[in-house]
Amino acid sequence: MPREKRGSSAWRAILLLAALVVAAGCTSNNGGSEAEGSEGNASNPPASDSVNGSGAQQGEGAAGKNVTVSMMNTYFSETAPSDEGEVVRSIEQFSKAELDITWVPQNVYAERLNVTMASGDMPQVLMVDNPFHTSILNGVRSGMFWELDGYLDEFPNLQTFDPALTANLQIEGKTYVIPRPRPLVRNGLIIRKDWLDNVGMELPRTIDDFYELLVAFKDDDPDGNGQDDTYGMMLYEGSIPRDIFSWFGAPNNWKLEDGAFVKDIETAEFREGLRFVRRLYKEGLINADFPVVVRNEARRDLYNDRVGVSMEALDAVVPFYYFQMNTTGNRFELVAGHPVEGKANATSGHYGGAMIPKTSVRTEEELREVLRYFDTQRSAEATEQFRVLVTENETREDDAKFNIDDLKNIIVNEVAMYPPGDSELNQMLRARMEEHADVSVADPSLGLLSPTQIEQGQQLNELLSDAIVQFVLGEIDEGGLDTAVEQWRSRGGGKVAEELAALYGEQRS
Amino acid sequence: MRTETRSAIWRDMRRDRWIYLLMLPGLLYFLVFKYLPMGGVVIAFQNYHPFTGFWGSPWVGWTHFERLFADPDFFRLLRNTLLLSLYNLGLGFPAPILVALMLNELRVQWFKRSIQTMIYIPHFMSWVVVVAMFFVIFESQDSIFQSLLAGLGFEPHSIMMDRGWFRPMYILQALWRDTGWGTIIYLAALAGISPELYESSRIDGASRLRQIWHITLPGIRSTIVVLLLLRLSDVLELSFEHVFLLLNAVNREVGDVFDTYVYRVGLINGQLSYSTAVGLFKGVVGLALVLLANWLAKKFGEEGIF
Repeated sequence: MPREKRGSSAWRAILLLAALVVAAGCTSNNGGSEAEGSEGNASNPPASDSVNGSGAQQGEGAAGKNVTVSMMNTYFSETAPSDEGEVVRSIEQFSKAELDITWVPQNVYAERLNVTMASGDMPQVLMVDNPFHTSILNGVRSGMFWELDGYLDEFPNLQTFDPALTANLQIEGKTYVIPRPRPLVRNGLIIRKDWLDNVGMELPRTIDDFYELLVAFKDDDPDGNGQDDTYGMMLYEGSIPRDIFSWFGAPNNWKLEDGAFVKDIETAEFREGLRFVRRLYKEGLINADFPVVVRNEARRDLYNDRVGVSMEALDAVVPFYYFQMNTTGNRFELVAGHPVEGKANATSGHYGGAMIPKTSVRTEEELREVLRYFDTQRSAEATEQFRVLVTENETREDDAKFNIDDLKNIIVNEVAMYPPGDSELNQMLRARMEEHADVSVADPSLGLLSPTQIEQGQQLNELLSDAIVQFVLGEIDEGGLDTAVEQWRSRGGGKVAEELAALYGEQRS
Repeated sequence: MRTETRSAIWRDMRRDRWIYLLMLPGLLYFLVFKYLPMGGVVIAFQNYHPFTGFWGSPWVGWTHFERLFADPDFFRLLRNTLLLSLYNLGLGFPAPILVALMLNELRVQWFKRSIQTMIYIPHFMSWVVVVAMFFVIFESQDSIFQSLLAGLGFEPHSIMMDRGWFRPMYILQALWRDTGWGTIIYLAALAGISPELYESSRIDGASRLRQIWHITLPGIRSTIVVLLLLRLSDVLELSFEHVFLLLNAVNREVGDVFDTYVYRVGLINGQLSYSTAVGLFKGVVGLALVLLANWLAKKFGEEGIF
């Protein structure tokens, strides 16, 4: 009898286990529909509005109380910024919030973002580097993210962004992103100053200057060690900075000609630039392994006195300084160059920004809390505090400094967009950035969402960038390049051009 | 009658309930981790987005498959995947047998043991480490290989940037890493062959090679067949990281396979439905190959896997 009893309780335990498993299966399967439910609630205006309106007022009244904001963000340094470090602490203090940040290295950010979105387990804020990426757009279209237009009126500091910038970031006419502002022109030449002095040359102004500089860096022993062990410019991961082509007069990504869109590689100017890069490669002025070497590996050459020129975001001179600090102890200075031939490509003026998913921020009340965090971060008071912090950071001893890039990647404030200090380095950088901005050419396709580009852009771009690398290496000739362009056109590139032209026409009318 | 058998089954189950209980975790494991996720392939026929979920995403039928077959890259992917798989099988399968036979002929035990240990070690390195080591030894500008080339008066040559070298490079790295590990089972099988057979063959005056051909190989024949069939079951698995790490702008033409394509379209570009369709297609090709191999095995009088 007791034996029998034990048996039945064991069966009960099994049943319970089975029920648990089934229940677990159900919840995971229903994740999607649950989220849908919450969307339904949110878009049920009369009830929720009145409730949350008062909620927000309470929130503003109790401004002393800190909100907690979780976010996913990227970093460029060797290791992720510490949650207890000065950068995060200061941001928390100035923005009156507690931050819970998931750090993801920059080179895997896109895939991690997609995996996070697919898992449905998201933080309150996704710091998105490119809101026009296919997966983000699909998310927006499926209603995954909060549309912010109706709420921004309540937050005065969120309305002070440059209108051109917010317009650039709109998706199908609506606002989903709180921008991380960046200078309109980012890329330029970064050159080792002591090498420049050693070979007795000035910053290059023309393509010929630039070429001669690279030759001098290769042949004239700029590091003075008596060995022929240097080269001119470093490239990496098979990418060739498009600014080089702009010097030759090539368009920024697309050229608008009588209402039609012409891809950069289809222009004669771009081809001329490409022949130039091919010549640089052939003469050993750029690193031979550039199609396979990764960025941090390539940079090692810069630290180890092998190379003297790189093409980077101009303000990268500052973070370079910090990277370099660990490796070389800042033996040498880097200087930002002028726009060569007085030409430069403009970028979009932002590094993406914050997007707020509906799966983690479920109610309007929560949304207002998160927005209040960003609003406080942009207040005059916080801006001043950031300015003081960044300026003061400049004057510290090397090892007491923090990497300003880490700060810029978290905040949505333009205070650190240009180097704010008065040091010689900062003044030089500001001057160069303005110089570049004055001559910059915009990408006419910005903000135009071609459906074919969204679906196949990745493959199409790869087709062209592979062909470009092969041409530079000498694997294919001009004819091979023509074939690749023809392939690109027939596989969808031609369609992209048509769609862009149509969208552009619509926008103008 | 029917009810009787049914109650008989129940009686058996009741009697052996503890044994059935032992089976339950295994059953649940397969159900939850192997069969339930298969339901996920429905997204290949939807325009799936995580936010709208299985129920809210629109059904699109065969659209994604049509896109895949219409993609000009499709045949490139299929060809590369099949070729690499076949090389992998054709060279990667016999290599451990060969090495095991060679090890078996070694007479000095400590020498044999140390060789074994040394060739096992690479198996424990991840592909990232293997490719990084390859890069350091063969590719970088001051590498041993490049200095050697220069010393012999040749021009520097990059293997990773030479598309003709992609497949040999891939196979050789795979052989280097996994051949040693693959010998373990064969060595165990070789140890099971009765020494008397060798003794009597020696008395008959058989040479070493004759012994290998008539005693050793037949002795491990069934092991070989079983391992071959097991290997066939995942013939299209090309260790994604390995291929991915070797790919670059120059060799994509010969190196791009379904797995790397799925990664680019699915993970980087976030087109979950399309990449699921690609993955599903790859699964179908793999299944066809396994069925074919199984049929062939039976045709040649061996036991199949099913």
